[in-house]
Formats: sequence, C-alpha cells, structure tokens
Amino acid sequence: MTLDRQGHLTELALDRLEADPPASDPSFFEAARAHLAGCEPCRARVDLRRRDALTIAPSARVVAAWRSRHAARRGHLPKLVGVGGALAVAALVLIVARAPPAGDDDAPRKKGASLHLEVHVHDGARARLVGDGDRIRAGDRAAFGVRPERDGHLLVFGWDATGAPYAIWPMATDPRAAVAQPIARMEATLPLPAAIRFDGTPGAEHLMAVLCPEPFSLADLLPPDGLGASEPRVPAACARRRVVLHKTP
Amino acid sequence: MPIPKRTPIAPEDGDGLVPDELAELYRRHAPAVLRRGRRFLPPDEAEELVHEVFLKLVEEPRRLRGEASPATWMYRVATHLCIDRLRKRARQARLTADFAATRAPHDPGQTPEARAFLDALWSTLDDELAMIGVLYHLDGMTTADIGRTLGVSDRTVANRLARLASAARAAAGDEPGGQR
Repeated sequence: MTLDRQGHLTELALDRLEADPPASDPSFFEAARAHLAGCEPCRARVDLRRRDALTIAPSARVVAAWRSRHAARRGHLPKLVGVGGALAVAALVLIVARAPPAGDDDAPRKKGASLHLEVHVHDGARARLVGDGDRIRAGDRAAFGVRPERDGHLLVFGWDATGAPYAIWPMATDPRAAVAQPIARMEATLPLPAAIRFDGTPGAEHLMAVLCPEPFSLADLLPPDGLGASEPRVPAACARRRVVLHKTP
Repeated sequence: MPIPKRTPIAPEDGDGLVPDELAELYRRHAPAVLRRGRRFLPPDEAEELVHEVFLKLVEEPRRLRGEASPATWMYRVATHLCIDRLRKRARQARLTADFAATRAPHDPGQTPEARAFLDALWSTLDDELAMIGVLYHLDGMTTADIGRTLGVSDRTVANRLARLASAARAAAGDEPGGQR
C-alpha cells in the first residue's frame, strides 16, 4: 500500500505523509510511520525533503482565478437569507476566500477542534476581509465563509451592542429557534449562503461561529441574562470562532 | 420573512494580497508538486507546473474535495501534466534523462520493457498507458498502488502493463503490433 516494489516508501507515500491530514487515512499513516521507524533509507529521504524546504508562492494568475472562482460560486447559490427585523434589509453574495484574520481568544486549540470563520464586508465600493477591531458602518453588508476541521453541527450568529442576537446561518426569523446544521469537515472554506446588512445600532458587533459534535440551537447558547451581559454558553466540546467589529452610524 | 434581492458584488481584485487559504494550500502541497515537476522538467518549468496544478484545483475544487488523499490528487494531476508538457514539446529524449537525479530507490529501466518505455515509448502511448508506465517504471509502484492512485482495479493495471510490455516488444521489433 505504501511501498514500492523494492520495499521502500513510494514518493507518493512520502508526499502523503508530508501533506495529507493524518485523519484522512489513519491506517495509511500508521503503516507508513511504522515502516519509517524501521527503514533507514526512507528516513534519509524524509530528511532530505526537510532540508530541501521547497517553497513557492501562488502566482498572480492563480490568485486571480481563485478569487474569480469563489465569486462565481457565490453567484450560483440558490437562495440568500437575511436576518430578521431591521437587519433583514438586504443580502449579498460575496466570496473572497481567505483564511481567518484573527482567532477567537477562547477558541479551543486542541488538534481537530478548529473552526475557521471568515467575514467579508462590502461598504458599497469594495469588499474586504475583516478581523477583530475593524470598523464597519451601518449599511455595510457582510458575507461569511467557514472551514470546519471536523464533522459536526454548525451555527453562525451575531449580536450587537444591545445584546440582541440574530441568526446568520442557518436563517431563522426567531433567532432562538435557529438550529445548527450538520456539516462535514472541509479542506477549503465554504462560503455560506447567508449575508447580512448591518443596522444602525452603534458599538461592538459580535459575529460567532460554533461547531459542536451534537445538535443544538441558538437558544442553547444564550445566557439567561442576555448576550449584552454575559458570554454565549458554548459547551466545552464545541469549537467557536468570533470576530468583533466596531460599528459606527 | 422577506428574502432579500440578490446583489452580487464583484470580487476584490488587484489588491496584491494572496488569500490565506490559497497560501495554506500552497504551503502544504506545492513542495510535493514542485518536487514531482523537477523529476521531469527543468526548474523554471517545474514552477510553472505547480501553478498549473493549482489552477486545475481552483477550476475543479470538487475533485479535490472528493479525494480522501489530496496529495494523491496532486500527484496524479502533476504527473499527467508533466507527461503532457513533455509530449507537447514533441521531445523524444529519454524520459530517464531528467529523472536520474531523483529516481526512486530502486533502479528503473533494468528490463527490456522498462528501457523501451523510458527511452521513447512513453511519448507515443495513450495517456493512460503513459501514466501507468511512469508510475510503474519510474516510481516503482506496485500494481495495487497504481490502481489506488488512478482509481482503477489491480487487474486493469495488470492488463495495461501487459499491453505496455507488448508495445515495448513491438517497438523493439520483436513482434508486430502496437499499444492497442
């Protein structure tokens, strides 16, 4: 499975050891590592690769194609959903795939528990990826991308400076009724078919993605005294990512 | 609840920034693709090959998502593109010429079939046979591994290798016939 006809790890096997996620094929990794432990020539090849330290940056053409492709993917989403009440003014389609600019400080760090959240804001003139502390204005629109690194149930929601929660994905008119949706581990960022337009409430705008092994609803996360006073009650087994923006009228 | 009217937004272009996710994919997989390219192509072309592979990934992301092993997808696509590039140049050089520095731990090309393939036959075979020949004679893979890599059965690989051997013998003038 991992060995060539001479009994050594194939180049492909070494590539897989180097680049594939171990969880993608545990039996392969187990067999390949067991072989490595007892094969000096193969270990030497691995060492040679490490010393090589090849790096290459994406070309401008690939970057342009990447962005174009992601924009096109968004353009084919079947339906957009908005956020209820005053926030459900409009939605947009936007995808500029980038990794998260800033992690949630309280995001679980254990391997396999990570969840990545991207927030892209369009101010009417241009789109940008935003991170903690970035400023937004009332009327700006936002779209979202997630990359769960494990299977689970995902819910994305937000709350403004008054503590009023709203569901972003999946959409629910009554945010408390929003139920996390099953989602599989992703190798690439998944643009969510959801977007919001920020209302005029000034102050901190919290956007949070939560990934749990078990089904849950937004109501399960809401603290009794409200989000303005307390943090969401995210179970320890869940991964979460948050971006906090500062909104001005 | 009203469903808002769709308002597409043009992607942000030309800001000189590389999406982090793309950068991460490059960090993880580009070294292996570059290494693969260098086994067949000059360094500058090997770099072009890396970008070509990633363009395919961008154009067909679902293919990669369906792969249990992204590295296998990269390896397969890179190998195919290497063969394609060499053929487009109508290059008749021995396939081993660019390969010698980083060949597999065993020494390929010891059998008459392997020598015929490595010398010239690879450039005239159909895509599938050329790919199988590279994986077998250059990479030293087993038929089972080739089958897994290409998504075909062991038996199919064995049949193709038999056809390859027949083509090699024909090329050497031992018997009539070709690749089919």
